[in-house]
Amino acid sequence: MAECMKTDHELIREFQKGNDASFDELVQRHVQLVFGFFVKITRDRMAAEDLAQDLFIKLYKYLKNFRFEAAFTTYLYRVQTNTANSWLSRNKWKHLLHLDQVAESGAPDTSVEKDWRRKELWNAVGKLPKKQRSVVMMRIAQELPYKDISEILGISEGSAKVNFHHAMNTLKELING
Amino acid sequence: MDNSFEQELTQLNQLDIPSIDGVLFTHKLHSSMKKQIATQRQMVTTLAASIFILFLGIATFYQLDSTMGHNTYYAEIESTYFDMDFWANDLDELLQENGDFYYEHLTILLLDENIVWDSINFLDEMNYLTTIKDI
Repeated sequence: MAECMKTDHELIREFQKGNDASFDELVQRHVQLVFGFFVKITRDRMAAEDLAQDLFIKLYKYLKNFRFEAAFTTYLYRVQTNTANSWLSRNKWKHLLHLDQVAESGAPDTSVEKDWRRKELWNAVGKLPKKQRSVVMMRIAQELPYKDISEILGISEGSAKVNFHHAMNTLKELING
Repeated sequence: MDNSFEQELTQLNQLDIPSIDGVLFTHKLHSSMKKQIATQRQMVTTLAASIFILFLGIATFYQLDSTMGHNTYYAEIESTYFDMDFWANDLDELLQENGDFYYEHLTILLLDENIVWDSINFLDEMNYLTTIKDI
């Protein structure tokens, strides 16, 4: 039983010693969380799976030098947010070109209006400055508390709140006009 | 105000996330990683091959350049080679310029053209000139 419940850090240590199976276990443990986050951002199952793959490929390289200074999830959230950030920046133009398309959420939510609103929201989030964008993603898509956000981004809790407040004002203007 | 907008956005993003098969995902991940490694290796090999070919090309160029300086080409003697009125040629001058090379080729040409007597005369003269040169 204890064998099955290895901590993330134990798995990483084993991986660093050359045990690739530990990495697979780590992936299987966190893939649903990562995939869910990317589905919320991209509203596209395939894109979310691709981003999740990119993220774990990056982790495979970087975990060899992981220094155990923070929890693995903190590190994972940071990489996840950076990956989503890049995706949002990269796909700004796509949103502009396909405004007539109904978003694919991969979920059984059939509300076209909700899909539109979601698309509009992430389109607007893509226009925010990087730090504000990161805070919004963690707060809205992952529903993380400010304390965790500040730890992940390496900023103070107050700064996270201020960034979120500014982001909300900008988003309100962008979405509600 | 902020709170209600935040709640609205949070609710908007509460989707039923489809579940993902972890084992299948891991398999796909491994094949992607293998593909990526293969692509990287291919790029390195291509780069190494290009550098090798470039190096070989440069080396060959310099090698050929250094040995080809004094070669006499057929094209260079073409004008006199096809001048069939060879009695008009200044044989002494030609002998000095091109040496035996010129006469060997001219002899072959004359024999090919079936001008047997002219060829014999020419060979006689050559022999004469050579004898004079030797003296």
